[in-house]
Amino acid sequence: MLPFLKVPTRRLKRLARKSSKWPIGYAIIVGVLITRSFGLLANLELQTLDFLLQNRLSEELDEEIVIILFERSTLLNQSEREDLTEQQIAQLLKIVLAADPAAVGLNIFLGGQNTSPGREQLIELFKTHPNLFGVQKVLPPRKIDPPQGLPEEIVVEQFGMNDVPPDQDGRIRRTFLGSYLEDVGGLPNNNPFKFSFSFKLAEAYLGTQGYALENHPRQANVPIFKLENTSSFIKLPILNSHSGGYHRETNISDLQSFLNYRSGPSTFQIINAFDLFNRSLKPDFLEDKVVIVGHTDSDFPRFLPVAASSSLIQGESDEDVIIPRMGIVGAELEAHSASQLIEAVMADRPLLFTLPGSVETLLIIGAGLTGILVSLSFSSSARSAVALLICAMIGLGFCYWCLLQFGLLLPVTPMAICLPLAGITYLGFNYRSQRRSLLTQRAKLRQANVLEAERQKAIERAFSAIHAGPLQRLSRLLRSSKDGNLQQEHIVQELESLNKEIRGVGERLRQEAIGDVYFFYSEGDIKLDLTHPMHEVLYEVYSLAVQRKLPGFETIKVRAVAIEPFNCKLLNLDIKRQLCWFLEESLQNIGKHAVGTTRIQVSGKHLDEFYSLKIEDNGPGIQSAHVGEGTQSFYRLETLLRGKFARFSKPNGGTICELSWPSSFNTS
Amino acid sequence: MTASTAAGSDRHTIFVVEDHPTTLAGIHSILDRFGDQIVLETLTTLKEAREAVQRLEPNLMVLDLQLPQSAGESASTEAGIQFLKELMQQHPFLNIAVHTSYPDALVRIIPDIDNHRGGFTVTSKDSSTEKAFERFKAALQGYTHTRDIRSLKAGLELKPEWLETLDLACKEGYQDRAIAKHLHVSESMVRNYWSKIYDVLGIYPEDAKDAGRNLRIVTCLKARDEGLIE
Repeated sequence: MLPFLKVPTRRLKRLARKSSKWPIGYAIIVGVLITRSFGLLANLELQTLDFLLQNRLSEELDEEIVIILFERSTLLNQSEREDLTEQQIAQLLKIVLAADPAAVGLNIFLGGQNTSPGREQLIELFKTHPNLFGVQKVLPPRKIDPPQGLPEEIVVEQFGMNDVPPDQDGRIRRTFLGSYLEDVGGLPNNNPFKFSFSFKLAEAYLGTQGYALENHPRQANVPIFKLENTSSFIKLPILNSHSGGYHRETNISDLQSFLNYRSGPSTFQIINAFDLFNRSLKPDFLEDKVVIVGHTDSDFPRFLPVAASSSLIQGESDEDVIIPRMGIVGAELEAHSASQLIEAVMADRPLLFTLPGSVETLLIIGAGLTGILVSLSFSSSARSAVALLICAMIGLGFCYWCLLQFGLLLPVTPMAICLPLAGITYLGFNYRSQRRSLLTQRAKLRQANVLEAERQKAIERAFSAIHAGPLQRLSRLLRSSKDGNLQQEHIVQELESLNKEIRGVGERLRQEAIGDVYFFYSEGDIKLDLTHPMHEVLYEVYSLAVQRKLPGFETIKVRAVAIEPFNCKLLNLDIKRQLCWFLEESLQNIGKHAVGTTRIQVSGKHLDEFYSLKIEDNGPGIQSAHVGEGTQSFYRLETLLRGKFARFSKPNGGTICELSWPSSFNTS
Repeated sequence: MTASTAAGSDRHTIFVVEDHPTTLAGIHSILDRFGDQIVLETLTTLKEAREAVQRLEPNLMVLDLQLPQSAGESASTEAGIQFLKELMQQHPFLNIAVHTSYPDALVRIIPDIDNHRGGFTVTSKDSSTEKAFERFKAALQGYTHTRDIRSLKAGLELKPEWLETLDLACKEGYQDRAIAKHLHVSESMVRNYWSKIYDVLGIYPEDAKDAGRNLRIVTCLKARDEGLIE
């Protein structure tokens, strides 16, 4: 792989991995594709096409094509007859043909009786002018044939079909280039082919400009216009039933193409036929142009719904108009069809075409993936949203530009749905994953706090284990050595005990850490079962503690003990263990410091919402301001129990050590 | 097992709760010293003991601590302790003699024992027949002997009420009735306090009476010696 691609590739892989954690974006892409394949997006896509076509810059008036209309109201004024006679048509055609146009198209059906006056003149005109073209309707529901009496070759060469293929929503977006006619009892694969009226006109005009109609060298059914003596050609894009937004559109048969309407209010020059009759207009300007002759009812014109505007609408004042006008009339539709072919060949004006279905599918997938990637590329949801918006705007702009510049119709709608939708889902995902990471972070912090507390506890336990056993012995030894009454034998004995005790500490800690026991150290460990009612356990601790050989206990005469039962089911083992240690340590303090004590009082009582454990002596009281390690950990216990710890001297001698905590305190 | 009824008013009903045959034989031999003054019933499980006490409250309950809940289960000290607590709660005037290999197990229920108003004595299984008999007898008479399980090293352990009783009796010279009135308890409760005080001070009523001494005066003297009265 190229080295400069490594980083983006890695990044892309990371994003893909991230997105696959929440594959709803992919689901949306698939969902849009499925929706599209069911044809649910067809109308939306075609309406998008209309929207894009309508919102283009205005084009100039087409100079090549002129439309001449017989208007019903004028007809009434002139001849006091509603019907247009074939005589009038023949008369107009003679005037027009005299001006030597490139092609003349008569967009008026000449069916019915052969007896109408002027019919012969018309047939004669068709025979003498190969650049005069007529219309016939060849597709169901009803056909309208060319007038009888015309030679077969003239019908084939000079008559084109002017059937219109409407879409499901009634609008016209396509035009025929030509169609195979129905079976006439012959071989099914050998049906005669009929070009459309507009195509005939364009072909005739382009013929005068030196372009010849040929088949595409590789695709036999695709018509091309080729400049004589050159190899360059213009290919006409052919629709199929899945082109663009169409979904299995049965209406698309044989050769059809999208209509790239001329945009703007004035598209073609439209002349009233009677202006030529009464010579108010000189027909000279028709030379070398394509002339389309049609008729219309100016009061109730038949407007076709298309994404273009009729030139008839422009310049008319509201007073003349009876019904609101939108779209174009039939002659204009033919003019648009012919014009797009002529302009495509002569002026490189683009014809609308679409990409193959598979490419469109890939584009839609691409749009969705872009949405996913864009929204995952930013850590903040707001930024992702803005980026998505920008991306969608760029995409829309690009599609619009493609349509204007190349006539390329991209699947705008599904892409426009896919990109933001797939992206937005990941905005939520981003938010969620951020939240999740925040939560995990918090959980980790909590865990760390718990571990820290656990560590603290372990330290305290280790300290209290050392404090309760070996340190006591050591201080006793020190005291004896200071007093000077130390015998060698005694030292050895004490040191041996010390050795044993220190070794015992480790074992004790290990057992305490796992078991539900409190180790009371006296000559050999005594295990107190912490699952027993706590007032009983505390009593045991008390009765073991006062048996210690300590100077403070030597003078004791009376001990008053009353520990009321309390609800200890709510306390965890550790708290229980610490309560035991509190009692043991408090009594030990008396033993060590309160020399001369004669009475000890230990009471556990319920006081309102609190349970208070109080140890009282009548010794000398607190003599040093030093706060020992033991007292410090009492304060920690106080915090742990959300209770209160106090240690103070009584006024008439003695010390009170009291710990109270809420009876409802729950640590289990 | 059927309950034996007392044949005469001078005969005492004694329940023995013990599951171990050898120890049981030992207890029987101790109780033989009572002669025909007693009616004996032996119970081997806690379940049986519960039922029997429910049916008839005996004059004395001799009880091991290591007992099974019901036949076939293994014996445990904890079960015995629980039973004892239950017994003292439901039958506050029951005389109990605990005969056990592990007297230390009772330490944590000393406050409960102190509150018990019937006799309560403790004997270790390895003590002599003579001593055991004395303790059983003391319990039957409603005295307390728990010095074996009390810490002996640092002074005497008393409940505040007992101290007050001593004060009132020895300093003020009050009789039980006056003390009871003063402390807002019953006279029998005061007598119970005295029994506890004798126990704490190590005064054995039988000995004192045999020596022809006044029990209360002996107690007051001893209490003053021990510093219980200032």
